[in-house]
Amino acid sequence: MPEVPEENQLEPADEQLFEALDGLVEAIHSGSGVEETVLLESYPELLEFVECLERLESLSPNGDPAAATEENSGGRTGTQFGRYELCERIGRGAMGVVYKARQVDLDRVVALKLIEPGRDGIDSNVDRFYSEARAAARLRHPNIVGILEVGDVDGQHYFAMDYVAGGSLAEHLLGLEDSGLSGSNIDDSVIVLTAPMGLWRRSAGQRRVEADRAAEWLVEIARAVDYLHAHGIVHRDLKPANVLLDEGQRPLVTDFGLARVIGDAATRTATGMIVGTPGYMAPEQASGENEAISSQSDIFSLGVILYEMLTGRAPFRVANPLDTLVRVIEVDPEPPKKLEPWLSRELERICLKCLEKRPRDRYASAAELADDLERYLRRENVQAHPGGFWHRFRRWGRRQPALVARLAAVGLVGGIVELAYLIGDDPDVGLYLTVMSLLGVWAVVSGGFQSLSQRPQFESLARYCWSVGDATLLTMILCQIPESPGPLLIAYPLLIVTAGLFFRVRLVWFMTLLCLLGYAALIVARRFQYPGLAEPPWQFPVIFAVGLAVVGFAVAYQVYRVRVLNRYFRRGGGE
Amino acid sequence: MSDESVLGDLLNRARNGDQAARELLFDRCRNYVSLLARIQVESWLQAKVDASDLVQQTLLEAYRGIGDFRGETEGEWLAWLKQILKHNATDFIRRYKGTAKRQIQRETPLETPGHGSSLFRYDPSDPGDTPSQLVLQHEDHIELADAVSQLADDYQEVILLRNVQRLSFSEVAERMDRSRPAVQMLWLRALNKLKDLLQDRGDA
Repeated sequence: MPEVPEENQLEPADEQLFEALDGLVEAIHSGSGVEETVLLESYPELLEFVECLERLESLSPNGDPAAATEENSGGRTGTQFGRYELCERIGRGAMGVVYKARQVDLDRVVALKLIEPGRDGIDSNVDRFYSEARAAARLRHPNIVGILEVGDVDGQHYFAMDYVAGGSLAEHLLGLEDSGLSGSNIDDSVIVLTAPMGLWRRSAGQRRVEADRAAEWLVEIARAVDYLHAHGIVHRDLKPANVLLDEGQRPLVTDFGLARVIGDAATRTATGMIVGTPGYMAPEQASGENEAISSQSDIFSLGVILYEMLTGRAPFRVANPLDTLVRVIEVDPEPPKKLEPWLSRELERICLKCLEKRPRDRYASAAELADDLERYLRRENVQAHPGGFWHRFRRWGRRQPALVARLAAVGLVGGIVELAYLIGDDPDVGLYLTVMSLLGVWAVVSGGFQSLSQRPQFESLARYCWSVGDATLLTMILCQIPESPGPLLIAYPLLIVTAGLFFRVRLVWFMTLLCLLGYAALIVARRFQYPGLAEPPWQFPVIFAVGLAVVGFAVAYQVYRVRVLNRYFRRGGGE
Repeated sequence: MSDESVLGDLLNRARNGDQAARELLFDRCRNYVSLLARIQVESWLQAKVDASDLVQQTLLEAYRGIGDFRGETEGEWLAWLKQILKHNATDFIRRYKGTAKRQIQRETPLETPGHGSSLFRYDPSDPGDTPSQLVLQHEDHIELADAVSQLADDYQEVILLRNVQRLSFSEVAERMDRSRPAVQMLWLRALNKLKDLLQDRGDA
């Protein structure tokens, strides 16, 4: 870039970008999601900047939402709030602050949640907030935290709930309940984010719950959830933090019903938003199919809770948001028994049945889930059955897509070679054996790399090595064929396209390079091996190589685009 | 492999007494702490201040006290660093302003972490309980700090003043002692550069 003298004005072209960017920064500073969206729609070039700007925002001392809450509401302990006296702050979340409070007129202790003013568009959606809250307030069940009252004091909306003295299941799992810090007895349930990306990776040191106890708890939780369903309420945000344990270790479900209103309000500012907590939501919720969300989605979340209690870790644990997205929607979790071998097969089946990807494969109702768990507790046969061979095979396939794709391709090609050998008039036995054994090696090597890539520290390395293996074996096989490989060369572009499925731009380029090298090696090798064969015109291989490069470019570009969108959506919810 | 797992891995090894991992861990976090220190100090004192003492002190205390760190996750680790920094920043600012003028203009001074390390176990970025944005920010923060530190000095300054401290361009111009159009142009270039740096990292 040429040096411009300091006093220079902005170029006219820059001027426009500057104005737009400045507007965007102002919109972000004032937290105006609407304005932000409008600007982004009129200046698509701003898209590239959004992530950068919003990340900078997180550094701002005034911009940290957690810090802001702290300052605005932290000091209110001991003060009067309407008819309540705020005793102690017991939790904080995206929606507001929760206090332990004494209702003066009735002299009872409640948990009071103060919704932050202006947060998540509640202000403009007050009526629905109240009607939902009223509906929720009518519900009474021994395993749900009752809503006692909703209202506002000087424009600050709040709702009062039963106060539960113990901590949440999340704290129990973290081993925090004795620390005296079991503060967030009610944590905010609503998490608004634009894509189901950041599934939380649970730290390995998390506690498990003894199997029968986990089952007993889940029975109670499932019955409570069934009660909610019977009253037309889908919780949508079931997770350990929303299950409180009282002093008698009785689980109580909290924060139901309100999630949707607040979520809906936020949805208006940006499309494609998802309400829920990433690690616990069902695939239909995670993929944003809002109309597909039903009571079945809650059953999925119950399954995640059970899984976590049994194994001490959340079932979908990966660091990269794109992989996570793919995982929630497509990949089945490790069977719990693989992590905890002592676990009963029945309990594992119950858990996995809740975690089925298709809602209709899960339990039909939370009550059915509870019944089946009780059967397990009585040591009777549970209804969740392992599924047919085909079902189990599909499940396994979903866990290892890269391996399955290769095995399928290798198997199919092997089958065709076998067929050709059987029906051929004068088959070349040597060639047949070489090709078949190379295919066999390929299958074995794939299995090896697959198991290597299961270890997080080798994951990336395994992918690159796997690519080298693929390209090498393919080239070796093609070298064996005395005829011109012709249509078989399709395998090279195929490898490049498959590499794109990992969503790594570099991996795609790497594979493209490997394919080009492999193809070059193939041509050279063939020239030495079969010197007598007629050569195709020199420009054909060149055109093919150029074609490979173009395929690589196109795939890499697609991956890049997906990544940009991913970044944008990942950031979009973070006001 | 993502930065997050690298950081988590380093953290684990460092806590188990792996000396090399500890060095690497602090290496990875240095830019982040420096940037935070600079932001905190400059937004309180409203002037350009050399905060390297503060960074040094913070990293030293964290380094010595890593045995007291009881958290598990990367998020808890960064929150812990932040707490130590906050604590030190209060002293730093007090010293800087002189003991006579203990009252800093604004009403709420930086709070000190009164409850000891148990507080850090209660990091807001605890798994599952909080917005995932917070969770995602751990690796982002370090990445962002690294990218910012790669920028030229005046680029860094204009971005911190405008985006982080949220000053108007007139104020930025005054603080940087340049004309307003010049500052605006500088800002545009700085953002362009930062965006590119972050994108390169994102694809890595």
